[in-house]
Amino acid sequence: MSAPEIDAAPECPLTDRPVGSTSTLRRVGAGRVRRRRLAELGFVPGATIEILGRGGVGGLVLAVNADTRVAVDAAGARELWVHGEGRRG
Amino acid sequence: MAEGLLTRRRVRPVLLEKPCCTDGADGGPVDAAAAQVVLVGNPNVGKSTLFNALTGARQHVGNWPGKTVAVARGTWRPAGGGEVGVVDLPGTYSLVPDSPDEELTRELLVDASGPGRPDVVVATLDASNLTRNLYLYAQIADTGIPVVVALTMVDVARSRGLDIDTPALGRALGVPVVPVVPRSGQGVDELAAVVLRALDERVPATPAPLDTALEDAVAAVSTALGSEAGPAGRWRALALLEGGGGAPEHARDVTARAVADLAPEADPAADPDDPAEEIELRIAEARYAWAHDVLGATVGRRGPRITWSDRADRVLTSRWLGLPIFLAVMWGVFEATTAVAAPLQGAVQDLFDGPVSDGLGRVLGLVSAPEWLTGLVQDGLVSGVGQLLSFAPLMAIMFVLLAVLEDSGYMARAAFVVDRLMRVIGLPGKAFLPIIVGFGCNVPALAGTRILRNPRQRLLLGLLIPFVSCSARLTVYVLLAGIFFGSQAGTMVFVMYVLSIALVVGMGWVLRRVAFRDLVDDPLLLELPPYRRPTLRVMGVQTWQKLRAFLRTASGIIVATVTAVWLLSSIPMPGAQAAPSGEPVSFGHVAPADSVFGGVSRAVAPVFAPAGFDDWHASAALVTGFVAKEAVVATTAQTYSAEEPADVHRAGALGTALHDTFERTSGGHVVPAVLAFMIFLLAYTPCMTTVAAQRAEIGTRATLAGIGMQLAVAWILAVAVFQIGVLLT
Ligand SMILES: Nc1nc2c(ncn2[C@@H]2O[C@H](COP(=O)(O)OP(=O)(O)O)[C@@H](O)[C@H]2O)c(=O)[nH]1
Ligand SMILES: [Mg+2]
Repeated sequence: MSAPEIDAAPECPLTDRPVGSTSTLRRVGAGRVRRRRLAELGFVPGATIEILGRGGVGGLVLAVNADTRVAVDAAGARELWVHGEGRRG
Repeated sequence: MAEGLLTRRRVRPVLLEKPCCTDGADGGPVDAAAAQVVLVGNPNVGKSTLFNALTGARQHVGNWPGKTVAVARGTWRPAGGGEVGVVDLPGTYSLVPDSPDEELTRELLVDASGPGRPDVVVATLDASNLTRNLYLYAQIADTGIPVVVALTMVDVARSRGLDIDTPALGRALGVPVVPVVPRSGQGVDELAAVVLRALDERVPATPAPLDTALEDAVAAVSTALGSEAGPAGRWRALALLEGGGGAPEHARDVTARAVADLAPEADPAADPDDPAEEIELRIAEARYAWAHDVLGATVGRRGPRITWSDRADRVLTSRWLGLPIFLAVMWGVFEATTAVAAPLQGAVQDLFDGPVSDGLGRVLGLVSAPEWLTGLVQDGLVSGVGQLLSFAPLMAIMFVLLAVLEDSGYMARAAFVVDRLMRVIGLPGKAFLPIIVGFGCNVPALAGTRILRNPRQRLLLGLLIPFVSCSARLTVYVLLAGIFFGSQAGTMVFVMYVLSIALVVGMGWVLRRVAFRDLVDDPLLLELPPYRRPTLRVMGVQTWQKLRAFLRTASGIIVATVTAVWLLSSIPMPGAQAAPSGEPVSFGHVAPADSVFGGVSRAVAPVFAPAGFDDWHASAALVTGFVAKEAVVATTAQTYSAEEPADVHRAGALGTALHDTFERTSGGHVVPAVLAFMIFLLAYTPCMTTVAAQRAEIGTRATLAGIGMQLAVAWILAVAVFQIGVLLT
């Protein structure tokens, strides 16, 4: 996560990414307990997140680290700060 | 399998205490120090299926002693001889608890010592989702407990093009790894052999290495803790670094220094939790880095990453089709718990009211039992047991439906689709299902609250379910609406349903602000397990276990209530007049009006004066309604026919009688009074079976509080409707 070209890439919430895109998680903008729950499912900095689909009212279906499928709502997706095309995985 | 299902003797509940040697009545050598094996893993990894493959029918589902966490415990008889107690712990993503379910796993693995500590953990890991499963494994290994890995879903992994080098995985983890397909029993014998060996050797698991700086810190803190850290020393050291619990005096300085080294940028002055939080995140990252390394060294990946499950999700969770499909599934669930269940329920009830009751009556007649005993048996016990058992098919259907929806993976999608809607009452999307079922019957709906993992949410939902208008209440609405509202009857019944929904939403809103302020509105975060075909055998055994647990908890309340009502209506009030026929009043020969039941109803009636129905017929109907709403119409007819026999010969006599009563009690404001009565009927305690089911799910105290709340809400609403109605008319 310390590669300079990655750190320089602009950061955006997952809500800004299109369906079908793959991103690398940079940080989680949430409190400690929430961060812990997210980490248990694989959301730690450096994780790859692919957006598989979009449900009603802004919910997203995600593939985390390739194998885990997770659903988040719009508020949950806004907590996930990512940057561009993932280089991992 | 069958002998275990039918004879209690063979089902030996395995508690954490070592089973006593005298308990081995069914033969076979019983190991005096029978070992304890616990299954730990993420949700949906096949733990319960594996548990079933190991224990067969020798299992028992019940709450863990002192907790409301339902756990399956069983006895495993491995081929190598002896008996091993097996516990199927609730699925968990980590050992840092978020709910009582997860707390139990943490307590057993970390806090327990001596005989309370399990002998071996079978870490059940999903081969098709190893990264995340290894994260939990790393935590288990940190507790220093002997571990064996059961690698499930190897068939799924293979079909997804994942090549897992099991021996290499075993070497990387430093523990035995056995691939199993619990559904077909494949690999279970090998697992047995490995577990037996682990029970013999009791080698603590090798911890998953973190980065050097973290390892140095852990080493320093562990050394400072010394021997008092116990077997889970590494876990304790990590927990201290993460800010969990206070360090003992002599380790405090070392811990503080290690924390400062690890998180030099963090500013404890600004926020004392800051460094701990940073270290916790760092440990999580290090565990994932380790998991990625292990994966890289042991798993080859070929083939597409998009699975057929993903393709199904494109439809089932899609913006346009997700909701209609969800509603169709809910309609199916509703039909199954109403239309399909009703004839079965009726058949059981008829069996008890007819042949069983008559048969017992004849037997009692043969031995010339006293009349009161025959009455007690026929009208009290048999009818109570009949009512209880009539719920058995319905509950079985409900348990099967829940299992199918959960195990197939659809429940998680349903929760995603309706999440926003359910947030109105502060509950997650999954809460939709029990509410829908509640419109059929509240009893299975209460059992359905189990799909919520958070016990506070479960409690809130359990308190709201009784406000969902069940089909038994419908019969009373139809009767009253038909009598009092004529051509508007249909509209009035519809209004009752609208009111029911308003009550659920409104009370949800109130409770959230009064008693459930701790329920935070976290954004949705939900794992979507792959779609799978549920295992029939496991579902069968689990349904039977849950059904038995329900019948056991419910039987007391139901038989006691039915017997009490029978007694009350059999005992004449002191000073009761002889019937017009001249027959003297005695036990069992008394008109409802003259019985203690009538007396109680009369005593209660004035409470309803402000609601416009201060009359013993009405309160008698409500007392009966507490037992079962199905009985309200019958009781009402009975109370009138006994008192005003002349009316019975006229068509719609009951209607006229009711009309007269409400006319009198409401001072001419019949419509508001009837509405108030119907609303009271909607909002107060649905029936004693609901009370029993509620007690099974949320405990005695919450159930009593719930009854109090229902009565208060029902009375307040009824009074409000009547008083406002009087003002307006
Ligand atoms: N394909 C496959 N499915 C399995 C296997 N083991 C269990 N299942 C299915 O996975 C689902 C979840 O299993 P369950 O035992 O309830 O998981 P638990 O939540 O860990 O207790 C059920 O539908 C099982 O039928 C397996 O080895 N292979
Ligand atoms: Mg299970």
